[in-house]
Amino acid sequence: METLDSRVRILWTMRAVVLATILTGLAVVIDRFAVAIDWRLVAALWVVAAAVGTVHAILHYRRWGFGIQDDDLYLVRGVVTQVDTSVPYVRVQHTDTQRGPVERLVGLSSVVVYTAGSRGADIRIPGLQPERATELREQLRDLAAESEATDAV
Amino acid sequence: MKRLHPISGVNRTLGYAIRVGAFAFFAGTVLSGPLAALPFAVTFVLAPLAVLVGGAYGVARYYRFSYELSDGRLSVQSGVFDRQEREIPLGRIQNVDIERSVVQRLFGLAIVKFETAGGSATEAVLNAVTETEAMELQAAVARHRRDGADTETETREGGDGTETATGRAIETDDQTERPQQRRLYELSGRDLLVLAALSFRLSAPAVVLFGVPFGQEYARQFLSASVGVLGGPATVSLALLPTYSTGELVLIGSVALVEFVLAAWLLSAAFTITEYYNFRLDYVGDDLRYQRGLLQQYSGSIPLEKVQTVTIRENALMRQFGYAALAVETAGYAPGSGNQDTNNTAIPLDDRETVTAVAEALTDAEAPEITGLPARSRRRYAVRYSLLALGATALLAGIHAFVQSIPFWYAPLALVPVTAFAGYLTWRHRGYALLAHRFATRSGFLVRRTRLVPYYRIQTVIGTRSVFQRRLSLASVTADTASTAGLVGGDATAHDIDDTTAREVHETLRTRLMDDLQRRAGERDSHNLEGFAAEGPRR
Repeated sequence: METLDSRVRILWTMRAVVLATILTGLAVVIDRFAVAIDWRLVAALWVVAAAVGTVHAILHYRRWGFGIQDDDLYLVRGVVTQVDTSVPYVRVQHTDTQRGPVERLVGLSSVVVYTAGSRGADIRIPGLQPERATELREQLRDLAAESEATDAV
Repeated sequence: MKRLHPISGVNRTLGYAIRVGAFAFFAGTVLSGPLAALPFAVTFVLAPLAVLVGGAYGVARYYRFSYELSDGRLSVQSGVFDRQEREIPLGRIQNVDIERSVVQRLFGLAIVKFETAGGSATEAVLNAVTETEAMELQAAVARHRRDGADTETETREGGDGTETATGRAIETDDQTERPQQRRLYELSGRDLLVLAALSFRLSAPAVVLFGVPFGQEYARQFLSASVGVLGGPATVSLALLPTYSTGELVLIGSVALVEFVLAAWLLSAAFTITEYYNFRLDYVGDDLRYQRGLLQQYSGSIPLEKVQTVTIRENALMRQFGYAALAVETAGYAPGSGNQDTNNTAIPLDDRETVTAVAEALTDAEAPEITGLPARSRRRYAVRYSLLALGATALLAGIHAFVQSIPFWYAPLALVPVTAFAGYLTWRHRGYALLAHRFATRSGFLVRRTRLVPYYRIQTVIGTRSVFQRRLSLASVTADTASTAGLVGGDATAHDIDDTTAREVHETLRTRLMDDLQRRAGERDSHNLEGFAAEGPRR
């Protein structure tokens, strides 16, 4: 099992802090225009939300793993609900590498694998080194091409 | 390239002329009237002009739209300002549906719709062509699939689609003989009535609700009469509302409710009858072809090799009387494209034995022996369903304590036995089975669906374990396919099974997928060696 780059924790923590700030902002808006809320409560809300998000980010990083197996790509992830997915190479339609602005800031990249399925149609592997992402995408492309699909949809 | 039938061109021209003309008329009236921006007379110049412009656009659209079926693909050109040229390889077409409204039937016209797996809407709509052309297009797609599987280029359809009977007769010595047609299923009149009685459409009460204001006086008189018969007040009206006693109000209320449900039920039955009247299902070569409809007629082809899942559907009422329905799902219909539930129907309703037999014939699989869920997950369902009642109680308690006192705030607790029982029913109807070449899952109490997923159709295998499931070492396994019906009716999921079993199921699904893909590839190779001509219809 391969793990994600450890910097993904920074990314996810940042995301959690932003989310906590938005939530607190909402509480401030309510405080201004509707019901008065004690400022200490608002501060506590921010601290708790940010802390929960940070712990979640760390646990999520620890849990995340993927492996290139013989016939399929295997992914394990999820903190509250654990999810493991098998994506057979035969079913891979195409693969992307993606880098959002925040990801670029941290120097990370994602690989997205698309299948024709109705539920898990796109599967994302976040938090990869850009070189590893490119390598993985090419590796998956080759594996998909090798395992020539006998059945188009 | 061919054009649509001229009548549809006339229809479209008139449609655009009226629409654009009406818009201009209203715009003119508003601008000259309330806004006083234009002199009123301008409207009388503007509106006829707009009619001409709209008509011209309609004519242009008609002449810009052309299609052709040749070289193994369907090409469609369309658009006046936004021009579009679309090519669809025939081998990629999933469903071909033909619709004929009452008016179209008078003129001998039909709408043809082609569905492929990609995209978010119907990929090509020919509105409208002659009925014979529609049938010919449907047949040509099927023919391509049959013959074109091993030959790259398809030259036979290079003609202009005017193949005559003599043209076919000459070719019968090679592969182009007419595909064998065999009746697979026919809905009897009795079954149609039973289906109408047992299936309830949610649209029916809505239609009744919207309809009542229009037939207000009749509805009131009818209600008065029936209440009068039952010994209530002689006349019922809103004006008299304060004069009724509580008993009378209860009587009127319950009679009104019963009549409302009855009206909705009758309307729902009428909808069902017009929709499924004369339902037939045939094997045509390697395709399934259905026909149905009383006023608006539908016919569609479902290639057997494109079938993703086969689903046996039984609602609670149908189960009581031993009936079931069968649906055959492909990847064709886009999510939310309306009537995919009816388009996928293979059997609207029949006794369970017939449905199971047809399902077995379609899938070459034995009827599944479903394994139920472990007993320890039962509590989870009871608790999960009771959360609704508990949540409502908590909310009321909160309001009671902090905002305003509510008498009987604990009343929702009385629902707990009901929700717990609902949880139990859901638990009891869930289950799964691993068959020789199919994964079977069952779920749902009000509408129970038994899905049969061929292993070789699996796209991804997903195992999930929530916190609560982990505590009881349970897990769920989903076999995701490209079937679009999964978006509406739920996925093929084995819910809440033992964790170790779930891991085994996950592994089994993965390996069987690869095995069955290889097996099918092997079969295909041997088919190619033997040649298709000698094979006949193959399933």
